[in-house]
Amino acid sequence: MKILRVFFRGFGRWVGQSYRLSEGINLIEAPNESGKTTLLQGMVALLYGTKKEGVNKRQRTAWHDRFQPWQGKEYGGEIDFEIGDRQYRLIRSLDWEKEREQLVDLKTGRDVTEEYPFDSRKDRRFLETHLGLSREMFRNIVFLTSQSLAGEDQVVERIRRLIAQGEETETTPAIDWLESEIQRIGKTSQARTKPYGMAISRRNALERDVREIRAALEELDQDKRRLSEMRKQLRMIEGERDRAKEKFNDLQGRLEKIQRRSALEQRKHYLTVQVESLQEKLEALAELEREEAALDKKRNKEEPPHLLTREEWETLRQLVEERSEIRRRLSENTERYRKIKEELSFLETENSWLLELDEEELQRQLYRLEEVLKREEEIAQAMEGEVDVEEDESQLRRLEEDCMVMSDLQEREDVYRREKRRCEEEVSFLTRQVELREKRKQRAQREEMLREALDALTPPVPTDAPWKWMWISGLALTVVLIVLWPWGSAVTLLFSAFSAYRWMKQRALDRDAFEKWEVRRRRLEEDWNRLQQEAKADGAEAERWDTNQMLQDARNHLSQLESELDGVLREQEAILRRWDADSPLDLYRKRDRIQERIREAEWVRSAREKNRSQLAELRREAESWSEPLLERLGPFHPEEWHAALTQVLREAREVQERVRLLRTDLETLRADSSRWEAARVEAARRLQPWFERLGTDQFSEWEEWFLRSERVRELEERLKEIREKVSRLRQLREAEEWDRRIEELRREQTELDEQLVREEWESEALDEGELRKQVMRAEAVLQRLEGQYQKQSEEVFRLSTQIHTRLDRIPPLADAETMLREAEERVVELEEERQALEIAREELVAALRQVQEDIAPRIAPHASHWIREVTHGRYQDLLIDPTDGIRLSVFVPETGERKAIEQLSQGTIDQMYFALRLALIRLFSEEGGTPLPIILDDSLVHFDEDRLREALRILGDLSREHQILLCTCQTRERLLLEEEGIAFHRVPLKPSPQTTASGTV
Amino acid sequence: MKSFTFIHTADLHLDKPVEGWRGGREQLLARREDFRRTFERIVDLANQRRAAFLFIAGDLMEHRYTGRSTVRFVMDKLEELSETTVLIAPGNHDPYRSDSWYRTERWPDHVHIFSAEWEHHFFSEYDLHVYGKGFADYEESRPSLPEVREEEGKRIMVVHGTLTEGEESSPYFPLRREALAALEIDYAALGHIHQPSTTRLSNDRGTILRYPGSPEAVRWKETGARTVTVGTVDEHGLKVETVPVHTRRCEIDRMDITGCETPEAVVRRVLETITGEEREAYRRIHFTGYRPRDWSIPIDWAIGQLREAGFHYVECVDETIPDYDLDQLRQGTGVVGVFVRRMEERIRAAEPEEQQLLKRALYKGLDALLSREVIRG
Repeated sequence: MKILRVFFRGFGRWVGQSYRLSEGINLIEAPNESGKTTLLQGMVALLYGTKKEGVNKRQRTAWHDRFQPWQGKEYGGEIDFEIGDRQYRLIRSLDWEKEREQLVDLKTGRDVTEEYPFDSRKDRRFLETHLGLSREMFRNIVFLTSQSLAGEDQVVERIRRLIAQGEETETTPAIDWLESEIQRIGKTSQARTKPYGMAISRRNALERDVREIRAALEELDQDKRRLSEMRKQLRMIEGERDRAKEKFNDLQGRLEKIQRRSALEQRKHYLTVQVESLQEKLEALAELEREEAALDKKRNKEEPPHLLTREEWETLRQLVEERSEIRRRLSENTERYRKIKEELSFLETENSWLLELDEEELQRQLYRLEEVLKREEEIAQAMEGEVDVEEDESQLRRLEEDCMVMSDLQEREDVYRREKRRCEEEVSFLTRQVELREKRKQRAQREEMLREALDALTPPVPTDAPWKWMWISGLALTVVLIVLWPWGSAVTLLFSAFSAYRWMKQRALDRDAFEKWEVRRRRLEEDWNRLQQEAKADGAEAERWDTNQMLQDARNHLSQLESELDGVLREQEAILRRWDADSPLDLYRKRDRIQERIREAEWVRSAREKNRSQLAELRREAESWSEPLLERLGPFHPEEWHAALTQVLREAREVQERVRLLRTDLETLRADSSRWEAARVEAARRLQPWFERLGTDQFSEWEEWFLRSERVRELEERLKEIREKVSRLRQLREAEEWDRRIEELRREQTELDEQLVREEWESEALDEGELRKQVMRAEAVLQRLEGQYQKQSEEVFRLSTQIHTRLDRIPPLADAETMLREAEERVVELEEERQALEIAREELVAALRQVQEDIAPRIAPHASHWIREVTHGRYQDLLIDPTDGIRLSVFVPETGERKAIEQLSQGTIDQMYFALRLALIRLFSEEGGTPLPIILDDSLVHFDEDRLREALRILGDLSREHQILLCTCQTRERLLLEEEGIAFHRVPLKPSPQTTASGTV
Repeated sequence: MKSFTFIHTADLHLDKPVEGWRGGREQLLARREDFRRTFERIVDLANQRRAAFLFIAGDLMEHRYTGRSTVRFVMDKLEELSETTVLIAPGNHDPYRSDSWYRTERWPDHVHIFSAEWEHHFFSEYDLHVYGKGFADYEESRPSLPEVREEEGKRIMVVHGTLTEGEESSPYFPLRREALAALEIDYAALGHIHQPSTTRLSNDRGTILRYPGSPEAVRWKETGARTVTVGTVDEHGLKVETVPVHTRRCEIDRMDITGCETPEAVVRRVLETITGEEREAYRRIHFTGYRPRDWSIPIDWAIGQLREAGFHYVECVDETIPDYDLDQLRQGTGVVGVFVRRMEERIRAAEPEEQQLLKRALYKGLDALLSREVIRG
């Protein structure tokens, strides 16, 4: 393909310009910002248009608006090009709204546009059809920009991509992005911070909730079934109850009918009773009137001369009784006074000595007698204990002797024991000494053995010397024979070689033997040294004592001590057994107890003596005081005297108390008699008016009058009641119109009789009693069923409430399941998303591998060729190491080795990249069947002069087949082309209208 | 004969777990409430029309899932219908099991629940014979029919089941059309099928077999107005009409977003298309068509925007295709071309159910390769 001409109606700065391009190298030399890149972009835009590629919908590229013409409105132009043997003109309007394209066959002048149908974007894809390359691919293959050859760090990576996949498309970021998306979603349920982990976690939690709710509901099912059964029973009971109620109501209705009839009869009976009652009342009234007359007559007959009221009678009776009482009291006092007087005079004469007795002295005497009795008792007790004390004293004497012996034996035991311990230590020490001496003796023997072994150890004697001399002499002989008899020297040389071999072998054996001897000697020395050190550590010194003899003596002494100690212990045991003591301490305690007892007996004896003297004193005192009473007391005997004196004391007290009481009574009687006398006078004074009023002082007459008065009052009372009743009945008779009422009632009776007769009652098979029984039975049945119904209702209610309560605690299953399904869908959604990403990644990697397998072998020959060309044969064969997909290396013919590309200089790497780009253009040109143009946009600016020269030389070669557009901002390329004699066509850039106007060209 | 009105409904599925729910817990509670409101509307309708009967032909509730508060609510509402005889034929989702709410609760006296055996009830006031039967368990494949009495008067059947032809079987109480025709009933109040339908049999009475459909959408595909059937029986015969009772509709939209340059433009397009009361419905929007390859629709963000704009509930499903020219990409010699070819080959070889996933992988790979490239120029 060759571009022949390009005409811009308007494209960025280029407005109305036209450029012609020729075959071979077209040099476009211009400074920066002069429009080179716009020119190249404009060519691409005219060739391919400005629609976005790779999409279905017509969209403009991002750069479409950037190249709007600076002047004018016509956006677009024409481009003439040649593909194969055909030339075309492609006319384009790039105006988005009025986009238009036209392809004209220049040779025939025919518009061939319609031969290319629209695609979904409304694009006819002229170039794609001819070249098989999209705009993006065209750019990537044909364009070598300064950016792509800038010697940047990533150029190696780009080379790698070119050689591996024939394009620079980076797939790693795409794979990385897919991986990062997979990672973002999360791969396992354990990653709980990621969406997938969170979704799984939520789903599991909800699953658990649903399971729990279901389990809780299933638990309730049994109860619900039971409730259902109970409700069924309840309905049955309800049915039975309703039937029973119906029956009961029926029976009750019948009963009510009978009861209504009874009510009418009762009414009739009531009327009869009413009539009779009124008649009785009338009769009662007449009776009362008769009684009133009789009572009035009786009252007049009973009335006494003086009417005494109850109060008057009570007062009068009380006065009379008071007067009689006073008289009786006075007579009683007189009699009692006389009797007391007699008794008092009798006591004062008969018991005068008791009345005069000194009571305090008598008390003291009694105390003395008690003291005497106490002393006598103490003396008797002391005498009882004297016999025991004597026994204790003899026992104590024996015990004290044994205690002294025991003490002596204990001291001896201590001495023997201490001596025994010391002796045992000495035996132990001497035993150790004897053992140590045995060990030292053994060590000395071993040391002697080692010393002898060391002395006997002699180094092995080298045995290689004969062979050594044999090969030296053989060699010397060979030297001599070489001169004299060359053939014979061969034998000696062989002999010498054999001897040398034997010498070396023997010497190795000797060295081995010597090493073994050396190891053995070192071991023996180490053992000897160790024994020496042990001997030093033991502090071995010459034996100065006969240890064995000393040990024997010590053992003898020890056995002697043991026998003596046994003797002492046996004696101690005999003493302890004699006194039945557990230990010496127990023995001493026993002695102390007996001593204590004897001391107590001594003290009692002295107290007894003292009591006897006090007793004699007391007796004397008692006898001297009791002389007046000796007759009554008898001979001195403390107990009897004490009893007799106590009796005397009691009698004296009784007599004195009686005399005091009699005298008090006399005084009291005297005072009482004088008070009663005054009362008698007062009673006579109060009775005097009654005598005067009633005209008599006869109490029996007064009593009769009072009784008659009482009867008169009763009759009057009765009369009053009767009169009131009569009056009330008369009023009632008038008010209630008894006579008329009786007539009415009789009339009603007659009517009821007629009604009863008139009404025809249904004949009842059962009488009321029987019916009532049936009603009661029906009611009982009804009540029983009602009770059953209530009970069942309560049970149903209870179970129902229980189920409801439990149900209320269970969260809604429907909500939980809905949320669970939502969570499950979320999990599935994330899994699908992740799966899609994984498939995409997997296929992308596979696609990359496929491209590498497909492209790399095809591009490799081209790459090697152009590397050789570009580097002038210094490097060949750019290869990807199959064992390590990222290592690139080149073959260096000078050294015959491969060299990693990273080890090359930056300039060489840039050359490599250049070579590969050329290889790519060649590959696609061959595959497309048309040589593609090569467009270099400041792409060689970083090459040094030699490399640039080489590059231009190659471009010169390529220009025979490919059209080359070489854009540069410097003059180096032109000068070198001229120097190298490479033909080129210079394309001068025309100043744009704007720059012309501003004069900046 | 006295004329009367009846309401016929079925398949409300109170407290059934919502399929494909993506609205979170709070909105789920609101959805539950919708179902209750719908039941309330049915009861109100019965009251307004002074209906003598309310026939509920099964699946009123969801066995095991229906909570006590819902049962209490239903019972309270039915208490309000004391002038109406309520006849419930349990369905396969609320069978007449021993642990069913129908058997463990005491229902109002004017509510009758048909047991697992055929029952006959005669309402002399209306000269009406009602035959009904409930499901004993979750499945009932043995067909049976009631013994219809040779008596005058109207005949109505209330049952939950599947209409079948010939010897066709079904685990959900098959009702053979031919057998039903022989019964000569006037109206079969059926339940089980969620889409409303009416079939008139060509027998003497011209039996009407009616599925009233679900009164509130139980699944996404139950779109549009949801209704109950109101029947009137008078001297002129039997007339039926449908009355919408749903609280909220469910709607599925397919929205082609080709030409939208940004996600905001996508949302704008939805807002322009769905306006006013339409936003009150539960909506699932499937985005289709081509979208620019340098962005995808952020679903959560889009839902947020739509809810802010007054959508009661909305779910978005991205079914758009990134705008890649596969024809062109396929012809490429590089990695992209090979990748596209490989993926397309794999898609062709895959089972249909796997193809969707592979297409997704294709576009993921292209996104990775191309969507982040720097456009040179």
